[in-house]
Amino acid sequence: MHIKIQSIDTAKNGISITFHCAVGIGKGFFYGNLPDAGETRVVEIKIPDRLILGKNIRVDNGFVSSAIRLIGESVEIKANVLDVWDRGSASLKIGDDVIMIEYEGNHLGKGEKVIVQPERIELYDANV
Amino acid sequence: MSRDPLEEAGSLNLYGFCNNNSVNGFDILGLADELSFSAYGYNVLETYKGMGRGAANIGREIVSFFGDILVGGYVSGATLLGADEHATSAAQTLDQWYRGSSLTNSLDVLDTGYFSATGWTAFKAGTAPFVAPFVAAKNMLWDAPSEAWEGRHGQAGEKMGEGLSVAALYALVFTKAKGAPGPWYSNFKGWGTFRNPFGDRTVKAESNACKSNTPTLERPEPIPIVPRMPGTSTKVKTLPEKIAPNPVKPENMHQAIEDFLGSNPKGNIHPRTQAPDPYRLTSADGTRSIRYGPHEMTSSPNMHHYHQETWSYDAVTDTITYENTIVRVPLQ
Repeated sequence: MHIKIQSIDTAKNGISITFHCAVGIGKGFFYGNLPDAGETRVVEIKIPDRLILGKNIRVDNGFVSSAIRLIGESVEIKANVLDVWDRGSASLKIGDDVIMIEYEGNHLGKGEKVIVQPERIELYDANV
Repeated sequence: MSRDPLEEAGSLNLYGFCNNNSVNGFDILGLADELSFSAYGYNVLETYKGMGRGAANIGREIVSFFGDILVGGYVSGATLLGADEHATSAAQTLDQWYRGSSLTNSLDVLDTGYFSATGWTAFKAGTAPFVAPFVAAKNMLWDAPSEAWEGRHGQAGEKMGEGLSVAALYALVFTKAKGAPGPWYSNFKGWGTFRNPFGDRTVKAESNACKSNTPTLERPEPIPIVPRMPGTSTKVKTLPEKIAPNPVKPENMHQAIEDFLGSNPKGNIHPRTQAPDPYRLTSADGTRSIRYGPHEMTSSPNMHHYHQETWSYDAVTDTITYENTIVRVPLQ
């Protein structure tokens, strides 16, 4: 995902950056060569926690486009389910990018739309 | 890595590779003899061989270094724009070497060490502009009064480096890989940018000319265009990320990577920045790579994956188009 760094904060549990991207504004912990504010990077988004269907991931077919937005200090991601595999894993399409997730609960359906509110988001510099 | 088929002529270290500097360069050819050289390229090859043999006892590392410049560094495509850098580097190396060795050795190396009888003859027979700097380098030491030798080592080295840089470019342009459908440089078409710096001149040298060491090439001069390569300022256009439809079994991962990158020697030079990248394995032509970094390594077993990347460079717009496919390799 192409992101533009808006601000950088050093937190206890990592370096947090707020960013703009084609589908909105988000925030996450950055891994890799630390950019300066204003720089653009290509990153891989990782949701390290196992999501729980009905709690921090829910099916909601009421939106049109995928998006990422900040709600207070939390990030909300609206995405399409691209693929669903066994053992509670799936891939989500957000904009032009793919995020892989693990979840618990009922089986997600391919093509469904979901809203994800993960506790933590990690951004890995892809060095592209 | 396989044993050097050139045996000790290449280096005492039969398993040496790019002067133990595979991070900054890679030896695509492996064995220069495998190439069908034509005209100037042939001369350069002979010189390269001569350098390897003649300097066996007095500067193998240096020779290997030059060999890499001639054969590996430039072939990698990463350094075509770095001729000056290499010239400087070569000059510095030579200068250090001269300072650390006796004058007799220096002169011997210039006269006989670097140039075996065959290599030197072939070299002199060539009319390429790279001869002049070499001769100048030799004369600088040979003709200098003894008190001036020390001071002239650096200058001679500089000239030598200049010659090597130009020679390397010639080697690249006027050689072709055995069995390859066209001139060697066509192998770089994957970049979409690599151009024959001599325009549309036809390479006239045929295999017989190579064997007889008689250059029949039209002498190209001067070099009008320096091929443009991607760099840190190159713009990136990313295509939508994809995910491979089927996962790869862990035991098949190696083969899948080989299939994607090709069996030729691989490096870890970033296709855009041309800098070493510890998390990438890059194909020989620099158009494909595998990314396996901290994100991929720390993925949960079920999410374990790597990225298959392709890079297409457009020199006109100095833009690289980047395509990325996630390949899952579940570990459970």
